[in-house]
Amino acid sequence: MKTHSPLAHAFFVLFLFTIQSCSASNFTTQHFSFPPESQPHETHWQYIGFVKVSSSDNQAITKKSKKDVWVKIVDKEEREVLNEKMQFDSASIQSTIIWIEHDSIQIELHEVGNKYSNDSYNNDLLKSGPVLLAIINYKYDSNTKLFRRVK
Amino acid sequence: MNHSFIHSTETGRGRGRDGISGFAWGDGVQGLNNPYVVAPLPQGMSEKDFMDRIDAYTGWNSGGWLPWVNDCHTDTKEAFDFANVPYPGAPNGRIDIDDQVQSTVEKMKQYMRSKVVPIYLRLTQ
Repeated sequence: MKTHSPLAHAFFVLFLFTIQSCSASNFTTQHFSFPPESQPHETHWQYIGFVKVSSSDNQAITKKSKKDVWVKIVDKEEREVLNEKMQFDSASIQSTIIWIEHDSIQIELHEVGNKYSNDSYNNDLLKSGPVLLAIINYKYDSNTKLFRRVK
Repeated sequence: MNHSFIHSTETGRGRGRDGISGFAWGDGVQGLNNPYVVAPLPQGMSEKDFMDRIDAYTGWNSGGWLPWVNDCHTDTKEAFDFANVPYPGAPNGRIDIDDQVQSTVEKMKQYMRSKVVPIYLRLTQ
């Protein structure tokens, strides 16, 4: 029976990694935590979350293109309490998270210009100012112990 | 191997490569409580301005992953270069050399005790 050399296996594994790498997305993250006085990079939070914005076609994140926005929050036991994905056609997206009371979260998503991107769309955005994409409200459901989107 | 990414504590914004190959370590900005190095910014550059520069770097996640040649550490360093900020390096670099060397030396010592001592005894009999 013919067997492959270890070198052939190494090339195969590397090839798989390379394929996966090429399909990886370009992204930014915005981390936040609760209670309000906590910091996500410290340890005394009750919940930690992020808004991850990625360009699925691996375009530069600052260019106008289809963007996937992923909002996720976990508790101290790493249990998901919120997990939602949405899409926008936008340049850079920045989020403002307002989470003061436990049961109520508001996330504002804005399209913003980046002065280092050096393209006409970003230059126009810098002149006109941020564009509001969405205001999303979540409420805590004490029965399911999850946050759910409300109008 | 250690993972490397950028996180701004003031703005909450982060940037990184998607782990080893897009799936192995999920999102590239995680483990905010892990060891870190503070990157001093040039005078007059805010964290927001720095992160805007980091976002504008177009080399993130480009090309095939190859450790030491094109990985999360090279992406991070090149993004720092693009932002004109000295790259401080990730804590312990790519591999925790100290722990690995200590473990290897310990294994060698155990091996030497089990193999070398009987030979030495034979030679001196």
